[in-house]
Amino acid sequence: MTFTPFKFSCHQMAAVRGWRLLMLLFLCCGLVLPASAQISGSSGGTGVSAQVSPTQIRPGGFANFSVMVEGGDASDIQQPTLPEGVALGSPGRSTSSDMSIINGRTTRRYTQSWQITSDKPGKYIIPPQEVKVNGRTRMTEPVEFVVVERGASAAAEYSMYQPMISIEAGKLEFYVGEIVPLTASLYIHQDTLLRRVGLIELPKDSFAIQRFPLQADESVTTMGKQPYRVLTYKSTMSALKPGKYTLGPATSEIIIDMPSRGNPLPHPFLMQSDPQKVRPSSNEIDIKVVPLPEKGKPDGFNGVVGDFQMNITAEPMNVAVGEPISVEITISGTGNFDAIVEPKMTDASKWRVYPSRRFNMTSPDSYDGGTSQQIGYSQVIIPQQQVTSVPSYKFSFFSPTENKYFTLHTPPIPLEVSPGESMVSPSGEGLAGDMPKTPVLQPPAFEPTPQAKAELTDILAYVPEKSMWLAAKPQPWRSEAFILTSAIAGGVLVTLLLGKIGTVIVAANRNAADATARALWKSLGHRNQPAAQFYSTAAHYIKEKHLQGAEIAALLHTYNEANFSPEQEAGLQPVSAEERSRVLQVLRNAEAGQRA
Amino acid sequence: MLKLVSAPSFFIRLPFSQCMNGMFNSFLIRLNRVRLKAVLCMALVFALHSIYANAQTSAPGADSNAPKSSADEQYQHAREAFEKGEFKKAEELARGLLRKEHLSSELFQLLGHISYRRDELGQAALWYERATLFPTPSVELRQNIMHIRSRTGNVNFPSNGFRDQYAAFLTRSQWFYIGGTSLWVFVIAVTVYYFFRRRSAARVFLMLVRVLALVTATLAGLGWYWHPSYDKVERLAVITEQDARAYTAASTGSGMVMNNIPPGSGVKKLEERGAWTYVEIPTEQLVRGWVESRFLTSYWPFNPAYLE
Repeated sequence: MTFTPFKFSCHQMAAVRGWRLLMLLFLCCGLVLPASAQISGSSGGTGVSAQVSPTQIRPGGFANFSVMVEGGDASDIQQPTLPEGVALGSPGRSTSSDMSIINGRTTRRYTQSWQITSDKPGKYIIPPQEVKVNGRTRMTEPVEFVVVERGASAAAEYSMYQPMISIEAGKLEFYVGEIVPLTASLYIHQDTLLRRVGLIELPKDSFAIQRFPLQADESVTTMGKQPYRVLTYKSTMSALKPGKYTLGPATSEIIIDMPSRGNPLPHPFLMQSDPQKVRPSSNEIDIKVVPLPEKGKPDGFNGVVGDFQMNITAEPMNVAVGEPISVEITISGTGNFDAIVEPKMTDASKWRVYPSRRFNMTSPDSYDGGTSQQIGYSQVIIPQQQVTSVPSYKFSFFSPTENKYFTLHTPPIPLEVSPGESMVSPSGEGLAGDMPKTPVLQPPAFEPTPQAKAELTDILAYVPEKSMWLAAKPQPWRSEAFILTSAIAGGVLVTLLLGKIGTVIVAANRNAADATARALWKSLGHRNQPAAQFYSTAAHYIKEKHLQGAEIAALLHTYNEANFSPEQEAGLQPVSAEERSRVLQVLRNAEAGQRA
Repeated sequence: MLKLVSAPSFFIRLPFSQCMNGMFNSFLIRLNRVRLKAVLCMALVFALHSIYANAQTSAPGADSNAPKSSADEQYQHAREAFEKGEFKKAEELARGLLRKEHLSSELFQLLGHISYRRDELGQAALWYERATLFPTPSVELRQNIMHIRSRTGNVNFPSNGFRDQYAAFLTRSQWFYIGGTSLWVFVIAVTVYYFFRRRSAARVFLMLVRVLALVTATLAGLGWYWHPSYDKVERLAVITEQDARAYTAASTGSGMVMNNIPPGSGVKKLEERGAWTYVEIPTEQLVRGWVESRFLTSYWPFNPAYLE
């Protein structure tokens, strides 16, 4: 077996070169074409469109409204323009952008979407939306959107899944200011999926109602053989004035996923669902608010209703006159703690009492009207004399359980108060000698007087009788009146300046050294002047210019003849044009000769 | 001029040009007499016109479409409903006025009272703060804002009491017109000053006028600058709902910045992303975090032109 080396013939070599050239050509095309496609894609036309998906919904259902921009940089639409009856399902806007390459052509797409909803059946046209693409304003096409009323059978089926709200008051008859528990229960069918619960809203006319919390206690119940989740929201209320009132209905905006019709799967997690926004209304409750009795109302009563206990502590128990004692009073119980003001010392004549500071010992947020709450007051008091105890503090309230007023008194707290350093005997001999039984307190030199401090417990609900309506105005510098007035003022200013400049120029001209000569020369030019006047002016000009010469002398001679000769007739003859020209030429020549 | 009047004795008859000079002299003398009066009259006319123009544009309900009387009646009904404790009705009436773009400081106050009575302290604080944007400064408003702050412990951006009180005496436009008028009076007084002889009484008077005009223009400029404009309040918002929290990212599962931002607290919006807003909260040291947008209400959602 012999090995024969593989050799190309001339034809084969030519074929290989041809293939190489062909491959190189393909490679170039592969590199150049996508680039050119990219360029053509980026410089191609832009498209703006809008769509709604789905185009049909049930009342309270949701759809997505999208604005798409292809092949350009689009501006953001903060809020789309929607027709009346259509609202945004949620305030947020979602955006997405994607890029696709089809047949080597690159297309970018920027999409902005909103969730929209409507409660009223009908056909709606979403108007064109304005969007800026590459700095140019473009409009989308109007989009149709239909809200279809449910059929009777579907409505009956859906009514089963509708959430329900009920409210319940702890008492139906209670006193003004009394705190009463209030419960709102939201029933959600087990086959639906709760997406969002808004705040429970309740008309608050004549009642002060604490805001319902966002978190609820959850339980399960069955009604009419249908399973429901029960979300219980607890709050409290109190009445502002006596009378008979109706409380409710409570409402809340709820978004739930309702099962689609004919879906065989048993649970909302597994089956196709239909999001719905609903606003169920609760029952109403008739409430009777009883006024507080006038009989037995203690002095200083300020509307506190409830059942309370009061305790006091003080420390230190052993002080000198003028030294501070910290007193802490705690009030616990149930009732309208907001109305409580600091308890008062019954006998403060021997004490300097400073304003107290209130603090919450239990959170009022967790208070549901039934559980006990506790607040405290801390206060600094200073004995001004030797005393044996901290006097009692009193606090009045009306008890709705006992139906009568109570005034609580704290027990006096025994103290040991020694005489202070500033205590001296009336005779000024000091305490070491014959100390009197009731020493007199010298006023401390630098003890500051506590300043009266405002304690606001409510707003000043002053409402002015007349309303001064505001006007929307352009910025002042764009106001026509301002521009016109400024133009007038500017015109006045320019006129004044021009007038001043003109005056200065004219005055300078008049006051120049050759002003007289120029005026005389001008007079010489007037026609048909009498010879006497003409030559008089010429003589005046000669004098002003200090002209000399034979011809000048001749002119002066003529002047004398015209004015002072006995023949007055000659002086009254008008000067001919030729003579006037000659005289003026003589004067010019003399002036030129003088300059030379 | 005097040279011409004292002409050489050999003049027999007074030339025509001299007559003209005499007339010009008398004209200038007369002009000197009336010039100060004319300028002062023009300045006065300009000032009055500016004030009139401002009054025309700032007149109550100047550009409202609905008749002013109907808005007044609706306001009275809202006020009466509030006095009777019918807060819902009062709010509906007041909001009806807002929808028709009838805005006033008094209406904001009324809405603040209604919100407070309905225990919506954040909303109440917001309405009161809006009412303070317009003259004249009200002690009641300040007291109510202070009271809500003591109840909720809300936080707000530091303010300068003197500046706020001073700037609130007039609207921004009024400050601008006063400043503009004063500047024109100043410029004209400076110009006319040089028309009179040195040490003349008119110059002393004009010096006084231009000093007063400059002081007035400065004060008006400060009032205009300090008065809240839309640019200053555009990004401000107020926490109007309870249980507002600030997070380190736009998600309730992220870290906490502030566990409970009290209702009525002012914040500055830095960025909005979907249902979340990145805000600056004016605690002792400024902190920033993400807050759900539903807890916020813009400080001024109305037409910016109402703030001019």
